[in-house]
Amino acid sequence: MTLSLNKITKTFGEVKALNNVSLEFTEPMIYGLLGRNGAGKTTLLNIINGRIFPDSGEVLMDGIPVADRDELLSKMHLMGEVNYYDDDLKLKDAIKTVDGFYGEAFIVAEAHRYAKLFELDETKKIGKLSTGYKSIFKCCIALALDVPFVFFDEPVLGLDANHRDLFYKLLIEDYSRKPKVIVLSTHLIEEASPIIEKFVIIKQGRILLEKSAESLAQYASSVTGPKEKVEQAVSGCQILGRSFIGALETAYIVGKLSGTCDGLTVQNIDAQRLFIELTNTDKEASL
Amino acid sequence: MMLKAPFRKAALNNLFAVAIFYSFIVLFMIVLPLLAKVIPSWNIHMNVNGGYESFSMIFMFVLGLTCVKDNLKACAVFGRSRNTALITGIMALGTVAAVLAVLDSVFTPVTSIITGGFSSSGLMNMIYNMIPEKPFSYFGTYLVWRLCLYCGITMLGFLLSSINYRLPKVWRLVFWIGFGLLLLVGIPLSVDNMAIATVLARFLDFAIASSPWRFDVTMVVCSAIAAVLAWLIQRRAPVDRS
Repeated sequence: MTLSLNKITKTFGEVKALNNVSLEFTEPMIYGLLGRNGAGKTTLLNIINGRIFPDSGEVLMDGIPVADRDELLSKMHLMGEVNYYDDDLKLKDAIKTVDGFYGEAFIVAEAHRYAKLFELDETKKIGKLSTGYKSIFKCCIALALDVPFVFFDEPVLGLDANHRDLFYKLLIEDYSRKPKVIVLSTHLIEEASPIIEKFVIIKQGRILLEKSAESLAQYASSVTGPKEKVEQAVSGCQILGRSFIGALETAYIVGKLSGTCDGLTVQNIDAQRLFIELTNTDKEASL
Repeated sequence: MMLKAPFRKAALNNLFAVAIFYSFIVLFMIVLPLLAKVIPSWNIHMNVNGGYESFSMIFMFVLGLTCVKDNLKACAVFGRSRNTALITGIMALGTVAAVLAVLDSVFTPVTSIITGGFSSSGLMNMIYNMIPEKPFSYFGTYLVWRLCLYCGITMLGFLLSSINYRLPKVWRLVFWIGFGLLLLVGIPLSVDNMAIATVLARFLDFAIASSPWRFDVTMVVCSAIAAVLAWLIQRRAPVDRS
Protein backbone atom coordinates (compact mmCIF):
# COMPACT_ATOMS: atom_id res chain seq x y z
CA MET A 1 0.00 0.00 0.00
CA THR A 2 1.44 3.37 -1.01
CA LEU A 3 0.60 6.76 0.37
CA SER A 4 1.79 9.56 -1.86
CA LEU A 5 1.69 13.29 -1.56
CA ASN A 6 1.46 14.98 -4.88
CA LYS A 7 2.67 18.60 -5.08
CA ILE A 8 1.06 19.75 -1.84
CA THR A 9 0.99 23.50 -1.24
CA LYS A 10 -0.57 25.17 1.76
CA THR A 11 -0.55 28.83 2.70
CA PHE A 12 -1.67 30.45 5.95
CA GLY A 13 -2.17 34.13 5.24
CA GLU A 14 1.20 35.38 4.00
CA VAL A 15 3.09 32.30 5.15
CA LYS A 16 3.69 29.43 2.75
CA ALA A 17 3.68 26.49 5.17
CA LEU A 18 4.18 23.86 2.45
CA ASN A 19 5.57 24.53 -0.97
CA ASN A 20 4.99 21.93 -3.66
CA VAL A 21 5.76 18.97 -1.41
CA SER A 22 5.84 15.53 -2.98
CA LEU A 23 6.60 12.50 -0.86
CA GLU A 24 5.89 8.79 -0.81
CA PHE A 25 5.43 6.31 2.02
CA THR A 26 5.64 2.81 0.61
CA GLU A 27 7.29 0.00 2.52
CA PRO A 28 6.48 -0.65 6.16
CA MET A 29 9.20 1.38 7.83
CA ILE A 30 9.76 3.88 10.62
CA TYR A 31 10.16 7.29 9.05
CA GLY A 32 11.52 10.28 10.91
CA LEU A 33 9.98 13.57 9.84
CA LEU A 34 12.37 16.22 11.05
CA GLY A 35 12.21 19.94 10.77
CA ARG A 36 12.61 23.07 12.82
CA ASN A 37 9.72 24.86 14.51
CA GLY A 38 7.40 26.16 11.81
CA ALA A 39 9.01 24.05 9.08
CA GLY A 40 5.62 22.60 8.11
CA LYS A 41 5.71 19.14 9.77
CA THR A 42 2.39 19.39 11.59
CA THR A 43 0.73 21.01 8.59
CA LEU A 44 1.94 18.14 6.43
CA LEU A 45 0.67 15.49 8.85
CA ASN A 46 -2.66 17.27 9.24
CA ILE A 47 -3.09 17.40 5.48
CA ILE A 48 -2.24 13.71 5.05
CA ASN A 49 -4.85 12.80 7.66
CA GLY A 50 -7.56 15.07 6.30
CA ARG A 51 -7.65 17.42 9.28
CA ILE A 52 -6.89 20.36 7.02
CA PHE A 53 -6.93 20.63 3.25
CA PRO A 54 -4.17 21.80 0.89
CA ASP A 55 -4.52 24.82 -1.39
CA SER A 56 -3.30 22.62 -4.21
CA GLY A 57 -2.06 19.08 -4.67
CA GLU A 58 -3.52 15.88 -3.32
CA VAL A 59 -2.94 12.93 -1.04
CA LEU A 60 -3.30 9.57 -2.77
CA MET A 61 -3.50 6.05 -1.42
CA ASP A 62 -2.63 3.56 -4.13
CA GLY A 63 -3.42 6.29 -6.63
CA ILE A 64 -6.86 7.10 -5.20
CA PRO A 65 -7.46 10.53 -3.59
CA VAL A 66 -7.86 10.10 0.16
CA ALA A 67 -10.05 13.13 0.91
CA ASP A 68 -13.77 12.27 1.20
CA ARG A 69 -13.11 8.53 1.31
CA ASP A 70 -13.81 6.93 4.68
CA GLU A 71 -12.41 3.57 3.67
CA LEU A 72 -9.00 5.19 2.98
CA LEU A 73 -9.03 7.72 5.80
CA SER A 74 -9.71 4.92 8.29
CA LYS A 75 -6.51 3.18 7.15
CA MET A 76 -4.43 5.84 8.88
CA HIS A 77 -4.26 7.59 12.20
CA LEU A 78 -2.54 10.70 13.44
CA MET A 79 -1.54 10.99 17.05
CA GLY A 80 -1.38 14.77 17.09
CA GLU A 81 -0.13 17.37 19.51
CA VAL A 82 -3.60 18.83 20.04
CA ASN A 83 -6.08 16.91 22.16
CA TYR A 84 -9.28 16.38 20.18
CA TYR A 85 -10.85 13.98 22.67
CA ASP A 86 -13.75 15.22 24.79
CA ASP A 87 -12.35 16.37 28.10
CA ASP A 88 -15.37 14.91 29.91
CA LEU A 89 -14.77 11.44 28.54
CA LYS A 90 -13.23 8.81 30.80
CA LEU A 91 -10.25 6.98 29.32
CA LYS A 92 -12.11 3.65 29.25
CA ASP A 93 -14.99 5.30 27.38
CA ALA A 94 -12.60 6.97 24.96
CA ILE A 95 -11.13 3.53 24.22
CA LYS A 96 -14.67 2.27 23.50
CA THR A 97 -15.24 5.23 21.16
CA VAL A 98 -12.04 4.49 19.22
CA ASP A 99 -13.09 0.84 19.05
CA GLY A 100 -16.42 1.90 17.54
CA PHE A 101 -14.70 3.93 14.82
CA TYR A 102 -11.84 1.60 13.90
CA GLY A 103 -13.52 -1.76 14.65
CA GLU A 104 -11.22 -4.73 14.09
CA ALA A 105 -8.28 -2.47 13.31
CA PHE A 106 -8.22 -1.38 16.93
CA ILE A 107 -7.00 -3.95 19.44
CA VAL A 108 -8.78 -3.03 22.65
CA ALA A 109 -6.81 -5.45 24.83
CA GLU A 110 -3.56 -3.83 23.69
CA ALA A 111 -4.86 -0.36 24.44
CA HIS A 112 -5.66 -1.50 27.99
CA ARG A 113 -2.27 -3.19 28.29
CA TYR A 114 -0.41 -0.06 27.18
CA ALA A 115 -2.50 2.07 29.53
CA LYS A 116 -1.56 -0.26 32.37
CA LEU A 117 2.13 -0.19 31.46
CA PHE A 118 2.10 3.60 31.53
CA GLU A 119 0.11 3.49 34.78
CA LEU A 120 -2.82 5.39 33.32
CA ASP A 121 -5.94 5.42 35.47
CA GLU A 122 -8.68 4.54 32.99
CA THR A 123 -11.42 5.81 35.28
CA LYS A 124 -10.01 9.34 35.03
CA LYS A 125 -11.46 11.90 32.68
CA ILE A 126 -9.21 13.03 29.82
CA GLY A 127 -9.54 16.65 30.89
CA LYS A 128 -8.07 15.79 34.29
CA LEU A 129 -4.86 14.35 32.81
CA SER A 130 -1.60 16.29 32.73
CA THR A 131 -0.14 17.25 29.35
CA GLY A 132 2.26 14.30 29.55
CA TYR A 133 -0.45 11.78 30.36
CA LYS A 134 -2.67 13.15 27.59
CA SER A 135 0.20 12.45 25.17
CA ILE A 136 0.65 9.01 26.70
CA PHE A 137 -3.03 8.20 26.27
CA LYS A 138 -2.96 9.27 22.62
CA CYS A 139 0.19 7.16 22.13
CA CYS A 140 -1.55 4.13 23.65
CA ILE A 141 -4.43 4.54 21.20
CA ALA A 142 -2.10 4.94 18.21
CA LEU A 143 0.03 1.96 19.25
CA ALA A 144 -3.04 -0.27 19.63
CA LEU A 145 -4.17 0.48 16.08
CA ASP A 146 -3.46 -2.03 13.37
CA VAL A 147 -3.76 0.31 10.39
CA PRO A 148 -1.21 0.58 7.55
CA PHE A 149 -0.21 4.19 8.32
CA VAL A 150 0.32 5.65 11.79
CA PHE A 151 1.65 9.17 12.28
CA PHE A 152 3.04 10.50 15.55
CA ASP A 153 3.40 14.25 15.91
CA GLU A 154 5.67 15.02 18.86
CA PRO A 155 4.57 11.85 20.69
CA VAL A 156 6.91 12.28 23.63
CA LEU A 157 5.90 15.87 24.38
CA GLY A 158 5.81 16.28 28.16
CA LEU A 159 6.92 12.69 28.86
CA ASP A 160 9.63 12.00 31.42
CA ALA A 161 12.72 9.99 30.43
CA ASN A 162 11.28 6.70 31.69
CA HIS A 163 8.04 7.09 29.79
CA ARG A 164 9.90 8.16 26.65
CA ASP A 165 12.05 5.03 26.90
CA LEU A 166 8.94 2.87 27.39
CA PHE A 167 7.25 4.50 24.42
CA TYR A 168 10.18 3.76 22.09
CA LYS A 169 10.31 0.15 23.34
CA LEU A 170 6.59 -0.33 22.76
CA LEU A 171 6.82 1.31 19.37
CA ILE A 172 9.51 -1.15 18.30
CA GLU A 173 7.56 -4.06 19.79
CA ASP A 174 4.39 -2.98 17.98
CA TYR A 175 6.24 -2.41 14.72
CA SER A 176 7.95 -5.80 14.82
CA ARG A 177 4.62 -7.56 15.43
CA LYS A 178 2.57 -5.47 12.97
CA PRO A 179 4.87 -3.92 10.36
CA LYS A 180 3.41 -0.71 9.00
CA VAL A 181 4.40 2.77 7.94
CA ILE A 182 5.15 4.73 11.10
CA VAL A 183 5.99 8.40 10.73
CA LEU A 184 7.59 10.01 13.73
CA SER A 185 7.76 13.77 13.82
CA THR A 186 9.98 14.89 16.65
CA HIS A 187 12.51 17.42 17.82
CA LEU A 188 14.33 14.84 19.93
CA ILE A 189 16.46 13.61 17.06
CA GLU A 190 19.25 12.08 19.11
CA GLU A 191 16.76 10.04 21.08
CA ALA A 192 14.63 8.89 18.16
CA SER A 193 17.31 8.37 15.51
CA PRO A 194 18.28 4.82 16.61
CA ILE A 195 14.82 3.57 15.63
CA ILE A 196 14.35 5.67 12.50
CA GLU A 197 14.93 3.80 9.25
CA LYS A 198 14.34 6.67 6.87
CA PHE A 199 14.85 10.36 7.48
CA VAL A 200 12.80 13.10 5.85
CA ILE A 201 14.04 16.60 6.61
CA ILE A 202 11.73 19.48 5.89
CA LYS A 203 12.81 23.11 5.79
CA GLN A 204 10.58 26.11 5.20
CA GLY A 205 7.85 24.01 3.66
CA ARG A 206 10.09 22.06 1.29
CA ILE A 207 11.54 18.56 1.51
CA LEU A 208 15.24 19.15 1.96
CA LEU A 209 16.46 15.59 2.21
CA GLU A 210 15.02 12.08 2.10
CA LYS A 211 17.47 9.33 2.96
CA SER A 212 17.63 5.95 4.63
CA ALA A 213 19.50 5.73 7.94
CA GLU A 214 22.39 3.89 6.25
CA SER A 215 22.84 6.37 3.44
CA LEU A 216 22.44 9.27 5.87
CA ALA A 217 25.39 7.95 7.85
CA GLN A 218 27.48 8.12 4.67
CA TYR A 219 25.95 11.39 3.49
CA ALA A 220 28.15 13.77 5.43
CA SER A 221 31.26 13.82 7.56
CA SER A 222 33.11 16.15 9.84
CA VAL A 223 36.75 17.17 9.49
CA THR A 224 38.43 18.50 12.61
CA GLY A 225 41.89 19.94 13.00
CA PRO A 226 43.94 23.13 12.81
CA LYS A 227 42.07 25.78 10.87
CA GLU A 228 44.52 26.12 7.95
CA LYS A 229 44.78 22.36 7.47
CA VAL A 230 41.03 21.89 7.57
CA GLU A 231 40.46 24.71 5.06
CA GLN A 232 43.03 23.21 2.76
CA ALA A 233 41.56 19.71 3.06
CA VAL A 234 37.95 20.71 2.47
CA SER A 235 38.55 23.09 -0.39
CA GLY A 236 36.45 21.87 -3.27
CA CYS A 237 34.03 20.03 -0.98
CA GLN A 238 30.41 21.00 -0.44
CA ILE A 239 30.52 22.51 3.03
CA LEU A 240 27.41 22.33 5.22
CA GLY A 241 28.81 24.33 8.12
CA ARG A 242 31.74 25.14 10.31
CA SER A 243 32.38 25.41 14.03
CA PHE A 244 35.42 26.70 15.90
CA ILE A 245 36.93 25.97 19.29
CA GLY A 246 40.06 28.06 19.78
CA ALA A 247 42.45 27.27 16.96
CA LEU A 248 40.57 24.11 16.05
CA GLU A 249 38.02 24.06 13.29
CA THR A 250 35.40 21.46 12.45
CA ALA A 251 34.02 21.57 8.95
CA TYR A 252 30.93 19.55 8.04
CA ILE A 253 31.03 18.39 4.47
CA VAL A 254 28.81 16.39 2.15
CA GLY A 255 30.36 12.98 1.46
CA LYS A 256 33.80 11.80 2.47
CA LEU A 257 37.06 13.69 2.40
CA SER A 258 39.18 12.76 -0.55
CA GLY A 259 42.90 13.10 -0.48
CA THR A 260 45.27 13.22 2.49
CA CYS A 261 44.07 13.93 5.96
CA ASP A 262 47.21 13.83 8.10
CA GLY A 263 46.64 15.52 11.42
CA LEU A 264 42.92 15.75 10.81
CA THR A 265 40.10 13.76 12.43
CA VAL A 266 37.46 12.64 9.97
CA GLN A 267 34.20 11.19 11.30
CA ASN A 268 30.71 10.43 10.10
CA ILE A 269 28.29 12.92 11.55
CA ASP A 270 25.17 11.90 13.39
CA ALA A 271 21.63 12.72 12.33
CA GLN A 272 21.24 15.55 14.83
CA ARG A 273 24.43 17.34 13.71
CA LEU A 274 23.50 16.88 10.08
CA PHE A 275 20.04 18.23 10.79
CA ILE A 276 21.48 21.28 12.56
CA GLU A 277 23.91 22.01 9.76
CA LEU A 278 21.28 21.54 7.06
CA THR A 279 18.64 23.66 8.71
CA ASN A 280 20.75 26.41 10.28
CA THR A 281 19.91 29.90 9.15
CA ASP A 282 22.78 32.06 7.84
CA LYS A 283 22.75 34.00 11.11
CA GLU A 284 23.04 30.87 13.23
CA ALA A 285 25.71 29.41 10.99
CA SER A 286 27.88 32.50 11.36
CA LEU A 287 27.96 32.16 15.18
CA MET B 1 -19.31 5.60 3.61
CA MET B 2 -18.80 4.35 7.16
CA LEU B 3 -21.65 6.04 8.98
CA LYS B 4 -22.40 3.76 11.90
CA ALA B 5 -19.80 4.81 14.48
CA PRO B 6 -20.02 8.59 14.00
CA PHE B 7 -23.82 8.42 13.89
CA ARG B 8 -23.90 6.33 17.05
CA LYS B 9 -21.58 8.73 18.84
CA ALA B 10 -23.48 11.86 17.76
CA ALA B 11 -26.90 10.31 18.41
CA LEU B 12 -25.94 9.03 21.87
CA ASN B 13 -24.54 12.43 22.84
CA ASN B 14 -27.72 14.13 21.65
CA LEU B 15 -30.08 11.60 23.21
CA PHE B 16 -28.35 12.06 26.54
CA ALA B 17 -29.10 15.78 26.28
CA VAL B 18 -32.70 14.93 25.33
CA ALA B 19 -33.08 12.78 28.44
CA ILE B 20 -31.96 15.62 30.71
CA PHE B 21 -34.06 18.20 28.89
CA TYR B 22 -37.19 16.09 28.79
CA SER B 23 -36.99 15.10 32.45
CA PHE B 24 -37.00 18.76 33.31
CA ILE B 25 -39.83 19.63 30.91
CA VAL B 26 -42.05 16.77 32.07
CA LEU B 27 -41.44 17.85 35.62
CA PHE B 28 -42.39 21.38 34.67
CA MET B 29 -45.44 20.47 32.57
CA ILE B 30 -46.92 17.76 34.79
CA VAL B 31 -45.71 18.14 38.34
CA LEU B 32 -46.26 21.88 38.67
CA PRO B 33 -49.91 21.83 37.48
CA LEU B 34 -50.51 18.79 39.72
CA LEU B 35 -49.04 20.66 42.66
CA ALA B 36 -51.30 23.56 41.80
CA LYS B 37 -54.27 21.23 42.07
CA VAL B 38 -53.11 19.38 45.15
CA ILE B 39 -51.89 22.37 47.11
CA PRO B 40 -54.15 25.27 46.08
CA SER B 41 -52.70 27.44 48.80
CA TRP B 42 -49.44 27.65 46.81
CA ASN B 43 -51.41 29.69 44.33
CA ILE B 44 -49.63 28.42 41.18
CA HIS B 45 -51.07 29.57 37.86
CA MET B 46 -49.68 28.16 34.66
CA ASN B 47 -50.32 29.04 31.09
CA VAL B 48 -47.99 27.58 28.48
CA ASN B 49 -48.75 28.84 25.02
CA GLY B 50 -47.35 26.55 22.38
CA GLY B 51 -47.28 23.50 24.65
CA TYR B 52 -44.36 21.11 24.59
CA GLU B 53 -43.20 22.19 21.16
CA SER B 54 -42.36 25.70 22.30
CA PHE B 55 -39.69 24.18 24.57
CA SER B 56 -38.65 21.51 22.09
CA MET B 57 -38.14 24.10 19.36
CA ILE B 58 -35.68 26.04 21.49
CA PHE B 59 -33.93 22.82 22.48
CA MET B 60 -33.61 21.67 18.88
CA PHE B 61 -32.25 25.04 17.77
CA VAL B 62 -29.61 24.95 20.50
CA LEU B 63 -28.77 21.33 19.67
CA GLY B 64 -28.30 22.30 16.02
CA LEU B 65 -25.95 25.05 17.16
CA THR B 66 -23.83 22.78 19.33
CA CYS B 67 -23.43 19.54 17.41
CA VAL B 68 -21.36 20.75 14.41
CA LYS B 69 -17.97 21.13 16.07
CA ASP B 70 -17.96 17.92 18.13
CA ASN B 71 -19.04 15.75 15.25
CA LEU B 72 -16.57 17.25 12.82
CA LYS B 73 -13.75 16.85 15.32
CA ALA B 74 -14.59 13.21 16.07
CA CYS B 75 -14.81 12.34 12.39
CA ALA B 76 -11.55 14.07 11.50
CA VAL B 77 -9.65 12.39 14.33
CA PHE B 78 -10.99 8.89 13.76
CA GLY B 79 -10.65 8.66 9.99
CA ARG B 80 -13.95 9.84 8.59
CA SER B 81 -14.57 12.35 5.82
CA ARG B 82 -16.33 15.70 6.08
CA ASN B 83 -19.23 14.25 4.09
CA THR B 84 -19.66 11.53 6.70
CA ALA B 85 -19.45 14.12 9.48
CA LEU B 86 -22.17 16.19 7.85
CA ILE B 87 -24.48 13.28 7.04
CA THR B 88 -24.16 11.65 10.45
CA GLY B 89 -24.61 15.01 12.17
CA ILE B 90 -27.84 15.60 10.27
CA MET B 91 -28.95 11.99 10.85
CA ALA B 92 -28.37 12.35 14.57
CA LEU B 93 -30.31 15.61 14.67
CA GLY B 94 -33.12 14.01 12.66
CA THR B 95 -33.23 11.16 15.17
CA VAL B 96 -33.54 13.59 18.05
CA ALA B 97 -36.23 15.51 16.15
CA ALA B 98 -38.17 12.27 15.67
CA VAL B 99 -37.77 11.27 19.32
CA LEU B 100 -38.93 14.67 20.49
CA ALA B 101 -41.86 14.70 18.04
CA VAL B 102 -43.02 11.33 19.39
CA LEU B 103 -42.48 12.32 23.02
CA ASP B 104 -44.32 15.60 22.54
CA SER B 105 -47.17 13.87 20.72
CA VAL B 106 -47.50 11.33 23.52
CA PHE B 107 -47.00 13.67 26.44
CA THR B 108 -49.39 16.38 25.23
CA PRO B 109 -52.54 14.26 25.73
CA VAL B 110 -51.00 12.53 28.76
CA THR B 111 -50.33 15.89 30.39
CA SER B 112 -53.83 17.02 29.58
CA ILE B 113 -55.34 13.90 31.17
CA ILE B 114 -53.12 13.95 34.26
CA THR B 115 -53.42 17.61 35.00
CA GLY B 116 -57.13 17.78 34.22
CA GLY B 117 -57.99 21.45 34.19
CA PHE B 118 -54.58 22.50 32.88
CA SER B 119 -54.51 22.92 29.16
CA SER B 120 -51.64 23.64 26.85
CA SER B 121 -52.52 24.78 23.38
CA GLY B 122 -50.15 23.28 20.85
CA LEU B 123 -48.65 25.47 18.15
CA MET B 124 -50.42 23.63 15.36
CA ASN B 125 -53.76 24.17 17.06
CA MET B 126 -52.98 27.82 17.51
CA ILE B 127 -51.99 28.32 13.85
CA TYR B 128 -54.56 26.17 12.07
CA ASN B 129 -57.33 26.05 14.68
CA MET B 130 -57.76 22.36 13.96
CA ILE B 131 -60.51 20.35 15.59
CA PRO B 132 -59.49 16.76 16.28
CA GLU B 133 -62.47 15.03 14.66
CA LYS B 134 -60.52 11.92 13.72
CA PRO B 135 -58.10 11.35 16.62
CA PHE B 136 -55.67 9.07 14.76
CA SER B 137 -55.44 11.25 11.70
CA TYR B 138 -55.04 14.31 13.93
CA PHE B 139 -52.33 12.57 15.95
CA GLY B 140 -50.49 11.56 12.78
CA THR B 141 -50.75 15.00 11.20
CA TYR B 142 -49.53 16.65 14.38
CA LEU B 143 -46.65 14.16 14.74
CA VAL B 144 -45.41 14.79 11.21
CA TRP B 145 -45.92 18.54 11.62
CA ARG B 146 -43.84 18.54 14.80
CA LEU B 147 -41.12 16.44 13.17
CA CYS B 148 -40.89 18.83 10.21
CA LEU B 149 -40.91 21.85 12.51
CA TYR B 150 -38.05 20.47 14.62
CA CYS B 151 -36.06 19.46 11.55
CA GLY B 152 -36.41 22.96 10.10
CA ILE B 153 -35.46 24.67 13.36
CA THR B 154 -32.51 22.41 14.10
CA MET B 155 -31.17 22.77 10.55
CA LEU B 156 -31.27 26.54 10.96
CA GLY B 157 -29.11 26.13 14.09
CA PHE B 158 -26.87 23.67 12.22
CA LEU B 159 -26.35 26.12 9.35
CA LEU B 160 -25.65 29.08 11.64
CA SER B 161 -23.21 26.95 13.61
CA SER B 162 -21.48 25.84 10.40
CA ILE B 163 -21.04 29.47 9.36
CA ASN B 164 -19.77 30.33 12.84
CA TYR B 165 -17.31 27.42 12.68
CA ARG B 166 -15.65 28.68 9.52
CA LEU B 167 -15.36 32.32 10.55
CA PRO B 168 -12.33 33.83 12.27
CA LYS B 169 -12.96 34.88 15.90
CA VAL B 170 -13.59 38.57 15.21
CA TRP B 171 -15.93 37.79 12.32
CA ARG B 172 -17.90 35.42 14.55
CA LEU B 173 -18.71 38.34 16.82
CA VAL B 174 -19.71 40.47 13.84
CA PHE B 175 -21.83 37.61 12.48
CA TRP B 176 -23.79 37.04 15.68
CA ILE B 177 -24.30 40.75 16.33
CA GLY B 178 -25.46 41.09 12.72
CA PHE B 179 -27.79 38.12 13.09
CA GLY B 180 -29.24 39.59 16.29
CA LEU B 181 -29.67 42.98 14.64
CA LEU B 182 -31.37 41.38 11.64
CA LEU B 183 -33.88 39.65 13.91
CA LEU B 184 -34.51 42.52 16.31
CA VAL B 185 -34.16 45.54 14.05
CA GLY B 186 -33.89 44.56 10.40
CA ILE B 187 -37.03 42.46 10.14
CA PRO B 188 -39.31 44.78 12.21
CA LEU B 189 -38.09 47.77 10.17
CA SER B 190 -38.54 46.07 6.84
CA VAL B 191 -42.03 44.93 7.85
CA ASP B 192 -42.86 48.63 8.28
CA ASN B 193 -42.46 48.87 4.53
CA MET B 194 -45.82 47.96 3.05
CA ALA B 195 -44.44 46.25 -0.04
CA ILE B 196 -42.08 44.00 1.95
CA ALA B 197 -44.74 43.28 4.54
CA THR B 198 -47.19 42.23 1.83
CA VAL B 199 -44.69 39.89 0.16
CA LEU B 200 -43.71 38.40 3.53
CA ALA B 201 -47.32 37.96 4.63
CA ARG B 202 -48.24 36.31 1.33
CA PHE B 203 -45.27 33.95 1.58
CA LEU B 204 -45.99 33.04 5.20
CA ASP B 205 -49.65 32.55 4.43
CA PHE B 206 -48.87 30.34 1.45
CA ALA B 207 -45.98 28.34 2.87
CA ILE B 208 -46.85 28.07 6.53
CA ALA B 209 -50.30 29.19 7.58
CA SER B 210 -52.45 27.74 4.80
CA SER B 211 -52.18 24.06 5.76
CA PRO B 212 -50.07 21.83 7.99
CA TRP B 213 -48.98 19.73 5.03
CA ARG B 214 -47.77 22.76 3.12
CA PHE B 215 -45.86 23.77 6.25
CA ASP B 216 -44.26 20.31 6.29
CA VAL B 217 -43.13 20.69 2.69
CA THR B 218 -41.76 24.18 3.40
CA MET B 219 -39.78 22.89 6.38
CA VAL B 220 -38.39 19.95 4.42
CA VAL B 221 -37.31 22.24 1.57
CA CYS B 222 -35.75 24.73 4.01
CA SER B 223 -33.95 21.87 5.80
CA ALA B 224 -32.62 20.56 2.50
CA ILE B 225 -31.36 24.04 1.52
CA ALA B 226 -29.71 24.45 4.93
CA ALA B 227 -28.09 21.01 4.59
CA VAL B 228 -26.66 21.84 1.15
CA LEU B 229 -25.33 25.19 2.39
CA ALA B 230 -23.84 23.51 5.47
CA TRP B 231 -22.19 20.94 3.20
CA LEU B 232 -20.64 23.71 1.08
CA ILE B 233 -19.35 25.34 4.25
CA GLN B 234 -18.10 22.20 5.97
CA ARG B 235 -16.68 20.15 3.11
CA ARG B 236 -13.22 21.72 3.37
CA ALA B 237 -13.41 22.91 6.96
CA PRO B 238 -10.24 22.49 8.98
CA VAL B 239 -10.54 20.92 12.42
CA ASP B 240 -10.83 23.69 14.98
CA ARG B 241 -7.92 23.58 17.43
CA SER B 242 -9.91 25.08 20.29
